[in-house]
Amino acid sequence: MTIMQRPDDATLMAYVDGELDETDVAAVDRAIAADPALARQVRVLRDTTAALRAAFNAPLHEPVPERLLAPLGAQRGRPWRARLAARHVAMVAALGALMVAGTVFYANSSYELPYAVVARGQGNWLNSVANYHLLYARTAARDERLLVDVGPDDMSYLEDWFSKRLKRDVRLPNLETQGFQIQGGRVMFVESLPAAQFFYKAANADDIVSMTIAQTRRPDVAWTATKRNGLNMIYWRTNGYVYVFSTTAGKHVLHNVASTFEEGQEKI
Amino acid sequence: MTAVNRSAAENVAFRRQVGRCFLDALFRSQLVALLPRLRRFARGLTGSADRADNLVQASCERALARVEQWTPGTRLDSWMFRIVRTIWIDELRARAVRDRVHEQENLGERIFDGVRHMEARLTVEAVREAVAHLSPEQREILLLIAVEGVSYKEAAEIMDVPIGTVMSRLARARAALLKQLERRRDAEKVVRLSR
Repeated sequence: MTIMQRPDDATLMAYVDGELDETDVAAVDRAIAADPALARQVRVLRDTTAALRAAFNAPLHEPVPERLLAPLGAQRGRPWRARLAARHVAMVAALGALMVAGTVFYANSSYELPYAVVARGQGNWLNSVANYHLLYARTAARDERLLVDVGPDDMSYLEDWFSKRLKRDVRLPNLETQGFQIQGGRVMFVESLPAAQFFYKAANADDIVSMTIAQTRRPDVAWTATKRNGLNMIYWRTNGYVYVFSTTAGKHVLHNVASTFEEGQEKI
Repeated sequence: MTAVNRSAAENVAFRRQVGRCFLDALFRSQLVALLPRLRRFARGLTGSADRADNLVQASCERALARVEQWTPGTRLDSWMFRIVRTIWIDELRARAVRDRVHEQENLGERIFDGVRHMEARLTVEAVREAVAHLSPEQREILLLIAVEGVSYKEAAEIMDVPIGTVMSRLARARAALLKQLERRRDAEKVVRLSR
C-alpha cells in the first residue's frame, strides 16, 4: 500500500488495527505529527477500539458456567493468580546490578543491533523497546540466559524483584495455555526511566513474546497496535506506566497475550 | 495368515482409536481454554449473557460432533468463531430479524463524517448500547477485529468474505458506532439542559 500525503480513513483504520507494514506506519506517523486533525482522528479510533474491548471484556473475568464446562469434561479452575503461584515453586537468586550489567553488555557485545539504537521521531522509545527485544531474540539462540537478569525458576521471586525496582506491583501473566513459557526478565531504561522487560518463548517454535513495563511521563494512551522492525507491537499507557508487548509471531498471538496480561492486572 | 492380517488390522484400528482419544483430549482442553473468549464473542453478538451461553453451548456441541474436521496445529479460535457465527446467523434467520445491509465495496468510506468531537470519555454502558444498535454484521466485524484482535485476513476467512468486504464493513461499522456514540452524547446534553 502506498500512503499519499494525507492518509484516508481506511488507511488510518488499518494503522490503528496494526495492519500496515512498517513503511506505511512510518508514513502515517509523519502525517499524524504534521496534522493535529489527523492525530485527533487516530485518537478517536484508538479510544473507541479500547472502549469496545473494555465494554465486552466482562466474560473474561467471570467463572465459566458448569453447563459449558461439564460437556468438555472440565471443572472450574482456580483464580488466575493462584494458578500462577501454584505453577512456579523453585527459587533463583538475583544476578546483580542490572543497569551496570546492561551497560557492560553493550560495551562488550559482539552482537550487532539490527539498526541504530538512537532513532529519530516520536517513536524513539518504542524503537528502543523493539531493539531490546530483537537483541534478546538474537542472543537467545546462543544462550537465553545471557540477557536475563532474573531467571524463570521462581515466579514470585521474579515478580517481587521487579516490583521493587519499578515501585509497583508486577504480576506476570501465565501464557502456558497459549504455548509460551517465561524465560526471565531484565531491567532496562526507557526514556531514562526504569523499565522491566520479560521474555516468553514458544515451546514448539522460535517465536518470542516480550512484555515491557516502564515508568513514563507521557499522557495516557489507549491500546495501540503497531509494527517496528518486523515486530508486531501493542502498547498502552495508564497511570504513569507504559505497557508494551512485542513478538515476531502473528498479531492474534500478541493480542491474546496482551489481553491475558490486562485481564490479570484488572484483578490485582 | 488370516490371524496375522486380523491382528494387523486390529493394530491399525487400535492406533486410530488412540489417535482419536488423543485428539479428543487435546481438542477439549484447548476448547476449555477458549471458553471465556467464546463467551465474550457470543455476548457481543447476542447482547445477552443467557443467549450467549446458549450459543456457546450449541457451538461446543457442534464442534465436538465435528472434531475430526479440525486439524491440530491450526487455529482453533478461528474455527470456533466460525461455528459460533454460523449458528447465530442461522438463529437470526430463523427469527427473521437479520438486517439486510446493502454492501458497497467502497474502501473510501468516510468514518469521521458527521462526527464532530469524540473527546469525551466513553463509558462502557454507552459503548454497549451503541453496539447493540448496530446491524449484526457490524457488531460481528467490530467484535472480531477490535475485541478479539484477529487480522483482516483471518476475519475474512471466518466470515467467508473477501478482505475488501472486511475493510468496507469495518469502516461502516466504525462510522455507525461513532454516530451512535455521538447521538447518545447529544441526547445526554439535551437531558442535562432540560433539567
